[in-house]
Amino acid sequence: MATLAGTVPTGYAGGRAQVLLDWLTTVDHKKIGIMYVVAAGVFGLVGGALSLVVRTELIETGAIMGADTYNQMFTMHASIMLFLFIMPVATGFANYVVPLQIGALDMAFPRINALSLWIFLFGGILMLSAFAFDGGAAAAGWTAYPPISSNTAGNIQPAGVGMDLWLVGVIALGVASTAGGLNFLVTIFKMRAPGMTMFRMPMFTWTVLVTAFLVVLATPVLASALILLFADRNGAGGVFFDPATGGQSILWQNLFWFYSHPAVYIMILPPMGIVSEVLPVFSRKPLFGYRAFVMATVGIGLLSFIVWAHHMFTTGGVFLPFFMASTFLIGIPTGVKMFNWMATMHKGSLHFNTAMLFAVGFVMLFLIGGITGVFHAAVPVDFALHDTYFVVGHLHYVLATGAAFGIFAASYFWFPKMFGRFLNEGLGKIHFWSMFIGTNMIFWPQLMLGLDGMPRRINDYADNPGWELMNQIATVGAFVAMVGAVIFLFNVVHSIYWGEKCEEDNPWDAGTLEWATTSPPPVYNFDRLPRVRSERPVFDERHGLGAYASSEGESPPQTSS
Amino acid sequence: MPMPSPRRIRLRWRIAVAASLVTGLLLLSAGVAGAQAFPPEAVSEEGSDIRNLYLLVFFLAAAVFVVVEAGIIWLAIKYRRRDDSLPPQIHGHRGVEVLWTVIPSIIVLVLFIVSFVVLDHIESAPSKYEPVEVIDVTAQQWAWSFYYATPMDATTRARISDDPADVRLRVSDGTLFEPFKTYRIDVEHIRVDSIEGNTLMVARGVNGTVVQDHPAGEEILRITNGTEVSQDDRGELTDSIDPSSGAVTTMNTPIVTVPVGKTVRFNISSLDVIHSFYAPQFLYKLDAMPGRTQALWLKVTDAGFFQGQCAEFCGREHARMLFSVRALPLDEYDAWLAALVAPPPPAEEAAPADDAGEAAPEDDAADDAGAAEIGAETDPAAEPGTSRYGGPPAPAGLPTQPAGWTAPRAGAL
Repeated sequence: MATLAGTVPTGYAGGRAQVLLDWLTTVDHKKIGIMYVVAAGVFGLVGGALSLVVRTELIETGAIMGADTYNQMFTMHASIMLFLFIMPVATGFANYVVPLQIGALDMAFPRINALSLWIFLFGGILMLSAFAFDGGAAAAGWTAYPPISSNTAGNIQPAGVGMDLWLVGVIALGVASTAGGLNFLVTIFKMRAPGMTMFRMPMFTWTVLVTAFLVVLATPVLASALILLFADRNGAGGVFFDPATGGQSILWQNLFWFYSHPAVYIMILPPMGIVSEVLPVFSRKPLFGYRAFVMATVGIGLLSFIVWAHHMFTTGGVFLPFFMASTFLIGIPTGVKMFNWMATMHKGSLHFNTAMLFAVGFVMLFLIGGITGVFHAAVPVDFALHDTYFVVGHLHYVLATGAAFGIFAASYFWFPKMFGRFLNEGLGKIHFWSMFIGTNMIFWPQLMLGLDGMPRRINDYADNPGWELMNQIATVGAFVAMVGAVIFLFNVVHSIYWGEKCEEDNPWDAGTLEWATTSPPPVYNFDRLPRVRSERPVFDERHGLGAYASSEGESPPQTSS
Repeated sequence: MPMPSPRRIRLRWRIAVAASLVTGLLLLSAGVAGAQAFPPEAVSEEGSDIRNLYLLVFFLAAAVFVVVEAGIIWLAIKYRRRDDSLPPQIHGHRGVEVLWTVIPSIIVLVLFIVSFVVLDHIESAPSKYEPVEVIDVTAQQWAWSFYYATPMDATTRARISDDPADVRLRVSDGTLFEPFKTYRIDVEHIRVDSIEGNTLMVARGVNGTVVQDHPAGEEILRITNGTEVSQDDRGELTDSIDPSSGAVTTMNTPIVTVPVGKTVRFNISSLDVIHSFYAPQFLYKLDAMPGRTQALWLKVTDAGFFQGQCAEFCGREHARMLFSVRALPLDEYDAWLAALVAPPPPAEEAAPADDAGEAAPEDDAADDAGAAEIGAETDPAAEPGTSRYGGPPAPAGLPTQPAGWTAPRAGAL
C-alpha cells in the first residue's frame, strides 16, 4: 500500500546546499537516526583501524611501535568502539525504528533528539581530537583506573591532556545519551498507537525501553565519577582517587563499573531485540515465548545493577559471595533468551538472507560470549583468568560478534525501509562469512592465550610455545574481518544509489508497524495504521490472524498460501 | 522481494554448509595447534583447587556449547525454507519454558555452591599456629621488590634508612606511616633487640606497631618491621635452570624465592599505581593496590622456576614488568634465606659519613622501646637490596630488559 510513495521528498529545488541545510537542521527522527548510524559507522571504522594497529603490533614478539603509542591505540580502540560505535549505532537504529514500531509520528521531544545527536558528535570529536595534541590521546585503558589516569603524585608517568579530553568527551556523550534515554522513555510510554499495550510492543522496542532505563539510572553515576577524576587532575590534586594524596583508587572502580556493567547491557540488549525481530520474520513464525522474553529482558536490566563488582574480583575490595551469586543469576534470563531464539527457528521456514545469517550468527557466537562469562562468574576461576586474554576473548564474543552482528543484521533488515533499496545480497554473504570466520580467528585463539596466562594490554609477550602462532592467527583474522567491513561499507554506499529497488512497504513479510508504511516512510510516518491486536499487527492483517495472535498458549490455525 | 527458486535455495544451502565446514576446520586447527583448552598445571594447593573448579566449569560449558551449537546448525538445515507455505504459528509453550528456566537455574546453583566452597577454602587464612613464611611484595612502575622476614620465631629486623628519599615507614600489617612524624613504640608487642648498622632489630610484633620518638628534626628515623631483606635481582643477570630440559638460561627478572610445602603469606602492595601479582601456574592473582596491603596465601607444591608478570595495566613498561618464582625445597630455602640475612664478610668499609648523626635517633628509639642494646654498626651497603628499598622509582634506569626477552617456563607451559 504505497499510498504515500509520491509524497516522499527526494530532493529540493534549492540544490545540494539546501539538502545539506535540511539535514543539519532536521528534527525528524528518521534523519537523526540515519545521521547517528552514519556517524557511528565512521567512528567504528576508525576504531576498527586502531584494532588493526594493535593486532599488527602483536603479530610477533618484540615491539614495533613505542609502548606509549600502543597504549593509546588499545585505549582509543575500546573507547571508540564502546562509546562512539556500538552505543550510538544502536541509538541510531532505535531513533529510526522505535517511533515507527509504535506507530508514532516522531520522538516525544524532536528538538532534544537533535540536541542529543549534536552533543554526541561534539563529544566524539573532542575525544578523538586528543590525537592532535602533544602527548597524544588517552592511554590509560578505557577503564581509566586512577592513579594510572591521574597526573598526581602516585603516577610517575602522568597522563596528559588527552586524558582530560577523554573525560570531557565522555561526559558530553553521557549528557547526550541521558537526554536520549529520557526521550525514549517518554516516547515509548506516551506515544504508542491505539491498541498497542505494553505486551504488544515489538521486542526491539522493549529492549530499547529497558536500555533507556539503564541509561537514565546509570549514566549520572559515571558522570559524577568523571567529574571527580577531572577535578582530581585539575586542581583537587588527587583527593578523590589517588591514595598518594589521600584518595581511594578503588572508589573509582566502584563508580565506574556501576555504570559500565549496565553499559554492557545497554550495548547488548538492543542487538538482542534486533535478533528477536529478524529471526521470527525469516522463520515466518512469531517469537517463541514473547512474555518470557520480555521478563528476561527486564530481569537482565534489574540484575545489571547488582553485578558491577564482578569486574573487581581480584582487587581484594569486594564482598565476593554476593557478586558471584548475582553474576551467576544473570545467566538464567540469558539462557532463556537463547532457548527462545532456538524455539523460534524450530518448525519454522528459515530463509537465509544476509540479515538472517547475521541473526543466527549472533545466536551462535553470543553463546560463546555467555558461556565464557560463566568462567569469570566462578570467582576462583576468575582469579586465574582475570586481566588475561581470556577476558579479551570473552568480551569480544559478547560485543564484537554479539552486538556488532546484531547491528549488521539490523542494517540488512531495515536498509530497504530506510532507503527504498536493498543491500546487495551477494556482497552481504561475503561480508557475513568474512566476519564470521575472521572474528572466530581473532577471538578463539585469544581465549586459549588467556588460559595460558597471557595478560591483556601488553605490547610485547614472552615467546612461550604457541603464543606467537595464536597471535598470528588472531592478527590474520582481524584483517579478514576488516575486509568484510570494507565490503559492507562499499555495499552501503553502492546500494543507496544503485541497489535493487524496494517497491513494497513490507518486503520481508514482517509483522511490526514500521512495515505498514512506505519505504522510505514519509515525514510523520503514517497515513493509516492497522488494528493492533498482537505484537505483529502487520503480519496479522496480511495473513488474517488478528483474532488469534494476541496471547501465547492458544493454538492458532495453520494456514498456508 | 520475490522468493528465490528452490534450486537457488539449495545452492545457497550448500554454500552455507561448505563455509561452516571451513570455519569448523579453522577452529579445529587453531585448537589443535594451541591445544590449550586448559590452564597450566598448578604448582600450588590453591591453584590445584582452582584448576579442578575450572575443569568442572569447562566440562559443563563444553556440554552446553556442543548441544546448543549442534542444535542451531540442525535447526538451520532441517527447517530451511522449501516452499512458501506458512509454518505453524507457535507462540510458546509453558512446559518447555519452565523447563529451560529451571534447568539452567539448577546448573547455576550447583556452580555457585561448588565455587563458594572452593573460594572459602582458598581464601581462608591458615591456622594461627601453622608456621608461615611472610614475603612482602612491593610493586612499582615498573619493578617488583620482594622482602623477607627472617625465619620463624627469630627476631626480625627493621631497617633504619639513611637514604633521604626513603620516606616510607611501614609495618607488617601494612600501615603506611607518614614521614616527619613521631611514633611511639608499642612496648607490649615490640621489643627492640639490637641495632646493627642502620638496622634496628625488633621482635615481630603482634600488632606490628612501631617506633620512634623524633628528637631533633633534621635526623629522621625510619623503620620497617619484618621486611628488611630485599631480594631484587633486576638489572643483574641470573642463571636459571629449566628443570625439564636442564638448560641454563640467563634472565634478568626479579626473582621471588618461595619454600615448597610451607604456607606463604604474600603481603602485596604498590608504591604508585595499581599492579597485579600474577603467576599463571599459581592460577591466582591479587591486585597490588596503592595505599593498602593485601594478603595472598599460597602453599607451593612443586619446586621449579615459574614465570610471573604484572597483570593490571600500569603504563609504558607494563609488558616488561616481569618476575620469576623460584620454588625451593624447604631445607634449601632455609639455607638460602640464612645466607641472605647472614652478616656480610667484614672486608668492606664504606660506612656513610652521616652514620654518626644517625646514632642519636637510634638511641632515642631504643630507649623508648625499653630495649637496651645498640650493636656495632655494620656496612649498610652490604645488605642485599638496601639500595632498592622504598627508594624513588628510577625511570631512567628501568627497565633494563633487552627487546627480545625470554623467560621460559617450567613444565607444561
